[in-house]
Amino acid sequence: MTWWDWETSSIWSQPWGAAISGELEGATLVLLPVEVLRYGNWKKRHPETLVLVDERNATFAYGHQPAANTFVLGVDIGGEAVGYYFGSVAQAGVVNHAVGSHEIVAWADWESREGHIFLRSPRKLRAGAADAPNTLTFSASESDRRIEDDQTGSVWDVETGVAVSGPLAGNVLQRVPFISSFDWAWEDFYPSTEFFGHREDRVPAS
Amino acid sequence: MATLATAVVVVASVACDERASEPDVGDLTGILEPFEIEAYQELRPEPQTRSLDLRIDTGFDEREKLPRDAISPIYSPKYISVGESTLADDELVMGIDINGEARAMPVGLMRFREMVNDVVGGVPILATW
Repeated sequence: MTWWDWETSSIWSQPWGAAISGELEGATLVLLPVEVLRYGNWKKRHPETLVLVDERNATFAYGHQPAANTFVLGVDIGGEAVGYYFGSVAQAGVVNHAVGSHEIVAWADWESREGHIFLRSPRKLRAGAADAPNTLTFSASESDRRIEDDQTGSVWDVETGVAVSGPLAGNVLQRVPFISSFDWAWEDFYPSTEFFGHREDRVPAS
Repeated sequence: MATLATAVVVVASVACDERASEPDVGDLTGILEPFEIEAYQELRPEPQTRSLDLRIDTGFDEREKLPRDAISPIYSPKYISVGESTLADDELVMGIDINGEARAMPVGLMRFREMVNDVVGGVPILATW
């Protein structure tokens, strides 16, 4: 999809967030971390959230759409791109990976369709973090929606990136913005992309 | 700087409380980092692009493009509270939280309107599906 802006009528590319023709050609927007998740989970975490409606107060049912096997979480940071197959991340539970020089941790849940990606080299560690290594390695935790770092054994919440217990409690991982996309569309706009995982990966129905 | 110092003090006290019992994640918003757009700008200083031949890459001539607002963007978004909303819990939404202001944009609506121009937490944003 392309957009135009009222001010200059420049044409912008959605997957790049950049103006591709017109007066603003070459200008870029900052990609922010947006989550795509079930409303019930979002409002549990954000009870004060506002909900968008149209001019007639309507939303429109989207319904229960299963994640497609071509669905990727597309990351473009520091000039490098990686498309993480949603099914592969969900199957692994927790993925420790790197996008160029940026170390990341990815988590996904097949059933709720939620995915979260954070930098696992916290920029500003505090509260008991004096001896913590620069880069943490995560594995699954016994608790639902929690992951644990191998270095200190602290337990982190995957929705917020907050360490909820252990030596690093109170620290926060920085969220990495990603674009939810189909693998073919992602590759079309990011031809040098690497892919993590495979289309065939998925979580067996429980 | 005064704002930053205050934030750190709050963080320290929350961190101490946490040792007593594991907090409810819903109550952790106070310890989240203040939103810094620079942090995201640093991550993606130069988004990847490549040169496009609009005619080839989009498959149509300029004059054949959809007229403006053929897909009706939302310029003045209207929101309701959780209490007022009848949206089903299993509906997908786009969720964003900037400086403690949270917005849920139902995908069912986003797929028709595709673009929402808004200001959230003081940051002008364009949400797109």
